[in-house]
Amino acid sequence: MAGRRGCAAGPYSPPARMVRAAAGAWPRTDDDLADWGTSMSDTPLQREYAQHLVEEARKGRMTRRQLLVRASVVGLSATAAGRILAACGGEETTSTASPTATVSPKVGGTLKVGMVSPIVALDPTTMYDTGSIAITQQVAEYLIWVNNDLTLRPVLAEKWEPDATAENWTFHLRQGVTFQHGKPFGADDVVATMDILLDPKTVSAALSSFQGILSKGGVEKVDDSTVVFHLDQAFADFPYLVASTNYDCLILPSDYKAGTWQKNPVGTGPFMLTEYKPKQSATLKKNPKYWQQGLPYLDGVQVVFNEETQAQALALQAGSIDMMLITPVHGSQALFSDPNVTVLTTPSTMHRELHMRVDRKPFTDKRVRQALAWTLDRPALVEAVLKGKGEVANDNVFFTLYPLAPQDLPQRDKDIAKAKQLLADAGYPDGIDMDLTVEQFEEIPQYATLLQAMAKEAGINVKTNLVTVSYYYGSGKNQPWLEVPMGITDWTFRGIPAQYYLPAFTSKGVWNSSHFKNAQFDKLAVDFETTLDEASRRTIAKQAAELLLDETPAIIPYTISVNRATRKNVNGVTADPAEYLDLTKAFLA
Amino acid sequence: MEQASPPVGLPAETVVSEQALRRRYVVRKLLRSPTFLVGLAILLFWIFMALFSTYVTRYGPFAIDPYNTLTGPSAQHWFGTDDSGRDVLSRTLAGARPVLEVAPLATLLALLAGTTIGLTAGYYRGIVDEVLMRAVDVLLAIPVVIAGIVIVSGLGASLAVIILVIAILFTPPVSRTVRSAVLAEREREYVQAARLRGESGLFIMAAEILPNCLPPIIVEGSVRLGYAVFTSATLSFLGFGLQPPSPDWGLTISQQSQNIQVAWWTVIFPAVALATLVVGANLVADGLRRTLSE
Repeated sequence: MAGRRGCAAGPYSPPARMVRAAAGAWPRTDDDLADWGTSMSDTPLQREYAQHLVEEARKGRMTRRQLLVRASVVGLSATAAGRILAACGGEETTSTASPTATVSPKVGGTLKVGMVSPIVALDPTTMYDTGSIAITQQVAEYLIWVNNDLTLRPVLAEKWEPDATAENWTFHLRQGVTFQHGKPFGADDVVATMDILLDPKTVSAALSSFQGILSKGGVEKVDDSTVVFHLDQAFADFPYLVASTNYDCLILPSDYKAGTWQKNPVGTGPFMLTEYKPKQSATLKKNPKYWQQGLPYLDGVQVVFNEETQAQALALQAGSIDMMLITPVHGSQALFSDPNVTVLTTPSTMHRELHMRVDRKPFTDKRVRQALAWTLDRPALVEAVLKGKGEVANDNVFFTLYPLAPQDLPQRDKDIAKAKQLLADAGYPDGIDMDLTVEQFEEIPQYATLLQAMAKEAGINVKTNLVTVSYYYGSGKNQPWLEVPMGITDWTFRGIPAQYYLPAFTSKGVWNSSHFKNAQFDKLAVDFETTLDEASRRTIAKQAAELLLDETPAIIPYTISVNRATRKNVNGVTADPAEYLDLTKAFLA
Repeated sequence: MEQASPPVGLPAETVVSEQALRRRYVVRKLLRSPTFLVGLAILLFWIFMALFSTYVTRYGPFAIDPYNTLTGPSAQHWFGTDDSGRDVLSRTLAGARPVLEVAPLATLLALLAGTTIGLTAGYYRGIVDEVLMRAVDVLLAIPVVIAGIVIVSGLGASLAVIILVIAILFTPPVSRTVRSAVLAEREREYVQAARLRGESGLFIMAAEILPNCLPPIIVEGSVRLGYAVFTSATLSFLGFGLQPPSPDWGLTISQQSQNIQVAWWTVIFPAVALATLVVGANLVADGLRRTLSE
């Protein structure tokens, strides 16, 4: 399902008109091929890469959407991407018409949004919680925004390209943009922001993605509108690391003083934060000097903080808010049948990782881990736990939403006989006991309950220990989730698989809760991001996914689609796989 | 109380001890008390369910059905299904067991400890009384649920710990009640007679005073039973009691409360079940108090 989604409409995707015009025109000759994906502004490397993409697509190894994603990563221009896309056949249109496309935008009005409260003082350089991210994103902007289909939309960066080694990435910045306090935006601001983020003293959440890839001082100003990122190692997916999916990378002015954001909120974004009452509300007003002409449509946004999904859902039904930032199925089921409410949904790579300590009995034997994995009826889980708002996953992090996801990996499904056999082979013919630590978070306790019942069929007795979220994650030296023999951890959306497997499954990973150490996997993990050739990357991804599937350090039975409930009069808003909030084009009809 | 005259109409020749007469009178009186009878019926119903619910219900309390979640009451599922497709009726009835494993045992332990402390303090008075009662006062000042949470999170939530916690928390009120009953008794002639006979303090407390203090202790026990049911459910509700997938009512209410808007049956039935058990215990307590204090 995820593979079929088109990219959202916008200036960054090829106009549907153009795609249709070129539909069905396959490259027949070398001359044609030479023309694919070329454009006046593309570098020789990009042109070469474009041809390479076309070949991949012709061999049927890439879907159209995947191709588009890859094209946007190396910074191919929209024109080029469109032509490549056209080369792959025109049966499907690429831009999904949003349900509101027929309504002409209305200017004015204030949108009332309900969301969870920021848990710490607002600071874009260190934040990590859903509430903080959603608020600051209205005021400040990224270089690149990651679309729902994982294509990249240029925001403050207009274009970018790697050199032949993918170790140096040149970003061309948008000109004519000013910060809300009047300072014009330029290369200095990008360098200054990156210096703050890359300084270990800042303790930015962005650092976990940059570790070993980009270090402080690695960002160079070429001229006022050009910066070059000099990486520590080649990284084929680098643009994702400075895009919205690495959420702390909001660009701040070079005169910004670290830690002062809540007092003096500043950025280039569509809204200005005029009032902020922690745990209560936030008031945002339209930025009259916003660089996108005629946007935003809204006069302002009123944010109401509430921790409870159920309370937010009731407020939405009563009309005291117009939309919820996120609408987890758990606690908001009444909305799905409410005629006054629209629930937007988008597939995501958000998932739950059931990790088993591979260095602790009985999980030292991979057959025990596999046995548990084979007991799960995954479609039934998706149905019961997510009310169908999710997709079956296959115990590895190369999810189908990713362009290089292995397509022919056998899907694990319920097989009790096999599970019993594996247990018997591992020396547990009479069943086995396991202790599972479960955090009280959204649908996880319910998932654990179903898992218990399913595992029981194969003679696996899972004893659960239900704990609060704050106990589960702890802090400092006491982080139970990294120590328990078996636990279920919630992972949010990430733009590239590396953002999962580097922390969770490599030997040096900081969030390696299964204590999985595998030299072969470590090597594949590095190879995947240092290789530029798509075919080789696909092979590496498949090997890595197969290895995870076989070793089963963790069970990942499903990915969760992200829902966003709005009242019927809200337009121009989509659900976001990362639970982000883009209200630039929102309006009230 | 032992002076209560035997009911008229008994043949004078019948040789029955005064105690037996009294007992027979109380039982007859209780059986004529609708309050007591209703309460007893409710308690017996839940005790029966705690023991045999799995033979009565059609579905197991743990049997999941992922494709039939949150379905409303129907012929197949009289009380509907919960968010894992489990039969709410089966789980509600089975939920009596965890509660009745915890509450009566905890009450019994609290009665034992409380009676011992109350007797000792009330009989010996003086410094013993002071020390014991000040300790009891301190324990009484701590809110039950908060103390429960602290202890359970320190020791881990196992059945034994929960029983022990509730027992400890209910000991102080029991010991106060017993002490005041003992204070009234210890000045009576029969106690003085026993002292003059040279009986030991232990003998006087156990054989002379205790039997005469039994009525208030029994009443106290039945009142505490209701509170114990409630406390165990509260601890479970707050996540400091039993673990899923236990059909425990408090836990179920907490787990399913997210669904109340679309599936009221997942919460209402266990809540009603909990209420009936508490009310049942209180009705029994009420009946006992009225009859025994006559």
